[in-house]
Amino acid sequence: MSDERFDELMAEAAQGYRVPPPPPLEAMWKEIDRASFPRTRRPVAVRGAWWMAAAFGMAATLLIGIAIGRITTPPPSAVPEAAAAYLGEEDNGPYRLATSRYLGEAAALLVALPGESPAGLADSTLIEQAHDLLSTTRILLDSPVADDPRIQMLLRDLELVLAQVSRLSAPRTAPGEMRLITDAIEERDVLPRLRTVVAELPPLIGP
Amino acid sequence: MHTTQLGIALEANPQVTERQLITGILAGDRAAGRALYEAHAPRIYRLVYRLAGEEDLARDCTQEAFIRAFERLGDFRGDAAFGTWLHRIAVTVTLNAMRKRKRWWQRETGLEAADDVHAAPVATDPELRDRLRVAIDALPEIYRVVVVMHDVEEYTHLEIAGALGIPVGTSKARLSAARARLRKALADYAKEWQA
Repeated sequence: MSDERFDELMAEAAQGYRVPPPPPLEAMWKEIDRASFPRTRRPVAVRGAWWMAAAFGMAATLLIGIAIGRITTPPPSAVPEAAAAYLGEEDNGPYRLATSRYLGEAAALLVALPGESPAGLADSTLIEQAHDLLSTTRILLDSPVADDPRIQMLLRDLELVLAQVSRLSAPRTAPGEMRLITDAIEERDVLPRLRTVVAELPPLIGP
Repeated sequence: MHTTQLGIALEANPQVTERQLITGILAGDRAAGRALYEAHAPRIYRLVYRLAGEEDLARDCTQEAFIRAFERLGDFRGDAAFGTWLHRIAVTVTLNAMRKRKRWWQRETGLEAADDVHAAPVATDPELRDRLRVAIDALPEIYRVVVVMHDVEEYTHLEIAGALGIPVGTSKARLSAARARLRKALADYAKEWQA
């Protein structure tokens, strides 16, 4: 028996050995997703003329709470993530300030987004604000702030969401358009990640 | 929908590395999980299917491998590539599932019948290739895994060693031993080979 013949035979046998069907990628992912990434609660949709003020109020309260925590408690001995390493450097005050302000405004806008709305509730102020924040996002993405992978991924996600919001047409949106945006925010866990990054940023006021 | 968004994100930022995706998953980023899954799932599924030979089992084992990998991602130190680590989990999950299934099947049908299943087709199948495939199926597990990975799915010995947690030399030795067994199984056809 020659080795060449055996190899040939093995190659032929291998070619037809338990030929796999196309992998059911979507079906498998559904199960993996369900088990590995538990759903977070959708932000409550607030409607009417007062919803924006209420949402901004909630976001402001959150940020003020964080700021008070920073002032009244000593900073942790080690910053938890490399995320904050660059922003923690003394020379990077302007970036620190811009990032904190930007993240606060982005959080406020996301919380303020109305949920599913058959009538369409796009607010021209909201769209304008999304447009401005989108420009800031792109500037931050080109800055050293985006060197941190977690901040970079968050900025990329925010860029997509803000781009979608800024393309809405006030006062009425196409059916389901707002729903697509809020779904994207939920699926990518944008708000919890945003809050985590905000909480881990070095304080603006030194010890 | 998130697939499209992910596509846009990756297109806009092709430098996203596996390490960054892992960081994202640890922070609870579903899209990062999806990206890592898409990068590895087709190859993992192919291997698992070749080992298991059944669609349902292959699907279950692939899912289980990813779920376990994401669960234990905090323990992944990055000493080896993520793919190697994932393959090790996938092979372990698959072999365990196959052993369970075999034990159950043997309990249901009796050991003698179980042995006959491998023996019968070998004696009757006239096709050399089919005979060889049946001989591969009949190999002991430690040999069959290496044959499937090396000769069928074309993994290198380095990859096999990483996935099975064995030295490269052991992988080579197992392949050599497996091939010797296959040749022996095909001994009746020796004349044909020489023709």
